[in-house]
Amino acid sequence: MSTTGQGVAAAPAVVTPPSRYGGRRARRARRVAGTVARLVLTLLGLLTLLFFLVRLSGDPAGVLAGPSATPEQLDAVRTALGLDQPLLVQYAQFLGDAVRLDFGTSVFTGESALGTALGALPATLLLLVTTMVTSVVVGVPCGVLLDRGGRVARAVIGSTMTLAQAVPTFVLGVLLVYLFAVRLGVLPAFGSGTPATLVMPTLALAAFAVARTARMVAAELEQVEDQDFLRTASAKGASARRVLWRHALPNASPAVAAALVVEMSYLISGAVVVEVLFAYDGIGKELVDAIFARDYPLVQAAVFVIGVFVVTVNIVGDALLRMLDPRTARARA
Amino acid sequence: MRRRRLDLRLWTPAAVLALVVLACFAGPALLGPDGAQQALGERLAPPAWLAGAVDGKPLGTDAFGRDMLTRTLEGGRVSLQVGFGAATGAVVIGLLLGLVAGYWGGWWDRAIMTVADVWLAFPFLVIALAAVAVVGSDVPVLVALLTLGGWVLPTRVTRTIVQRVRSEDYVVAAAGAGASDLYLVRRHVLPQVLPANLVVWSFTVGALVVIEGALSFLGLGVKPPTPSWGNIVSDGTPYLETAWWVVAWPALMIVVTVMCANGLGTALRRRWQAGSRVLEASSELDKGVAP
Amino acid sequence: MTPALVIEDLWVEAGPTDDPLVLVRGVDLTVGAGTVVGLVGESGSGKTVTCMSALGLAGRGVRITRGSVRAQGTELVRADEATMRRVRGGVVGTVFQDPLSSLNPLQRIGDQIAEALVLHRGGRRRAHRDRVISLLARVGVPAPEERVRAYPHELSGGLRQRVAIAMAIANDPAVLVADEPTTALDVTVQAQVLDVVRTATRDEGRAALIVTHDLGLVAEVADRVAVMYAGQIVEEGPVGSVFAAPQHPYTQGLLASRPVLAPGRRRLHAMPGRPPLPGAWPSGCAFAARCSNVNEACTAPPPVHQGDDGWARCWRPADEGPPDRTEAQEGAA
Repeated sequence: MSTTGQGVAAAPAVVTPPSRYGGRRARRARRVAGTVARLVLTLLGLLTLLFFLVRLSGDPAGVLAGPSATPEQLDAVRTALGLDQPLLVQYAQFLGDAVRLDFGTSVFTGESALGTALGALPATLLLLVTTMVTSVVVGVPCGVLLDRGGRVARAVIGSTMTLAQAVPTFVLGVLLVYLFAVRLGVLPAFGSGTPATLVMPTLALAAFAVARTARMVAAELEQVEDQDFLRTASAKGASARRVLWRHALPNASPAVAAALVVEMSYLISGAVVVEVLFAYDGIGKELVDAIFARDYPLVQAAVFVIGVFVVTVNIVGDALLRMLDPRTARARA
Repeated sequence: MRRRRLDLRLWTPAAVLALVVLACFAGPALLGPDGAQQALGERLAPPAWLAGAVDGKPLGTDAFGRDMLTRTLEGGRVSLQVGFGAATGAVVIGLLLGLVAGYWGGWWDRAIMTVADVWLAFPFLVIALAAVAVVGSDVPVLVALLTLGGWVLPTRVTRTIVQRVRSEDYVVAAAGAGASDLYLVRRHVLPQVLPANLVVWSFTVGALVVIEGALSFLGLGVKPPTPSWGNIVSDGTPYLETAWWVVAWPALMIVVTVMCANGLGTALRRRWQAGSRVLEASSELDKGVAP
Repeated sequence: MTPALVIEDLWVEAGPTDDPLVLVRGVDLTVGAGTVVGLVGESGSGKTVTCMSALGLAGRGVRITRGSVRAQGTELVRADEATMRRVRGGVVGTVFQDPLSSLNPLQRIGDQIAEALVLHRGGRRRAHRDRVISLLARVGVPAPEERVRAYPHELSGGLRQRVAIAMAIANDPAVLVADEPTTALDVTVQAQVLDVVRTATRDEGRAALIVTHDLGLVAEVADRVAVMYAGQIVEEGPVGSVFAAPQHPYTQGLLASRPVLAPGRRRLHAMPGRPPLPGAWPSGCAFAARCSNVNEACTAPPPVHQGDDGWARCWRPADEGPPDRTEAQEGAA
């Protein structure tokens, strides 16, 4: 029985599992190990793919040496590839080279293939960053409007998003060029390096991402809306706007952020198209140029760099997500 | 009480899609061979409602004087072949793999899902580009390649459904009563799995038509003179300022096809979601395979 | 003395306006300052809807069509947003049924309680830290200085409900409204939280309206009880007299249905039939179909039969006390 004045009897202490710290650390170690394993596996898969891809063509030496190689060069490449060796040995050699970051020499530029590929990466990164920022800045408010705007707003935004998801990136790119470069002449149709050259590529890329983000935000908000804790916030005296921005959206964001991380993969694909269309000197354009030039060492290096980048983003993204949602951060015992 | 009202949100995109398919496959034959011939005297003629149009070529002509209507439809034939073919292949593979992974589980499941996870981590277009560079890009090759682009989603969806159905009480009971695996799959699993995969198929068609378009646009997909919507657009881009129609019609066709495919998928999903909680895997469906 | 909460002739309906579903019809309820009123009834009786709609927390599609709700003299029906926000949390604190879903999973509990303070007293969350800790101590949360940083999923059900109560009384509101505060908890924990509810209401002299179907809770904590059936209150009065001598046959049935822990074999008394759902209420007395005391008069809506301190809505209230419990139990078919 409680004694008045002393307040209520305290709740019994929650039983703490004795191995609490050991348990948590062990769990984290296991998770990190799992992530590393996934990373290694993915890169291994990528490299294996590249290895077999070249050999699929029937004349790997010819492919790697380039169309204008002399017979001596061909022989050199052949020995370097070790084509007379058993496949497994070749594979091991290839992997060894890859680990040492040796992807050969670019037929076109004569320099390290990997170096050339890496040199083109920053421009693409810039494009991707601007696209992601745009997709969040435009997508989130659109999503909010989609969920709880007036009927007109929802119809307009809804159909715009549907359209944005249906129009392929290259079509949109061509349209943008037509509108802003050809007709209005306000933006350069191609090039890279200046902020102006970033605008249209970003718009073309971001359209799909904005639409996806908006839809995800709207869907998550709809799910979160039924949650009781929103009613609790109202019961405390919070305004509807506060409930939305401080309670509903933050709870919707882990799912949206997760989707954005996955988005990165698709964005890279889109970036390749956009870079070629706008002659923007990123790694995507580098890749396509290399393909046309039959510069296979560069093709391999570029694909590898892109693969590593995507995997890194996924890992970093997962880590960030863990921080966003405390329920995953502190896994239940 | 069932209301037998026609669900327009489902049948409109389905009908339009069917119309597109019909037009692209039967149209060129009906229109006659003239459209496909080059007619250098009629290059870049505008569509019928503008000045300078050419008789018999209502949508204008391209840089070689070929009728845009015929050319667009022919291009559609190729693009749709690739899109539908690859989507079907992807769903068939996905169904099989998902069944194996979900039903027999264990090692198979882990192996398949690991491959799926690793595969999904890559930007598919990049791989496709590299592959095309080596193995070329005839239509059958493209179909095979794009099938690889779409197998993960149906696998995942199927696996989720199979796992859920397999643990349902009535299935466990049937198994306990002596039903064979084959019977269980045929009688209980398939009826749940097929509708969901039809939804996936719809979305995949849209996505793969876009990927084929992008590849062809880059010059690494279907190569001229074989038309495909993507390479027609790319051919027309230099003339954008003066002859917008060369780009407009194929681009429009792609957009219409994708919108219908997406619309059909959404309508199918909505219809089946009402009855079956099993399409909760639909959060996966939102991911799609773009660009 | 102004009664803390007055609900007068409250009518609530839901659904389309041309074909509405009436959920509450003509409820009159007064909670005097310092009094605890228990609102009991089965699911579907309208007890939760009454409280939630009184505070404007009933959700979309549910609306008050008639009547008045006054909290400390402030009219709530059709009040503007600002008034509602001031009253919610400031004058009336609310505790909901399921503390897991009614707390924001992504916010630390200390921040959630602090938010209640910020909303009504201004300032930043950090400034209220001391008060938050003392509130937690008051509801019996052990080690409150550490618990302040916990997330809801890290606490047990009983602790979470204590947190919810702390949040509700944070601004020292005149009234506490609790909707099934112990229902979602394990039986073993219910008693402890019941203690907390008692402290937060009776011991602190706070008026309270507790919605519950648990008669034991009412007996322990409440001063007065109101019994709801089919959208109406059918009996109201001091807990002692209503429990000892229930006037309305439904109340009698409810009390008689409680299992008795005493030697001897008995059948559990059960009332035949089920309560009518909204939309299917008969025009006369809603309980007539299940009443053992029914006669032809009961086809008309029964009048309110005033007692000394309380009333019952019945044509033939039992002035002579409840049927003998052993009789009722042995006699049940």
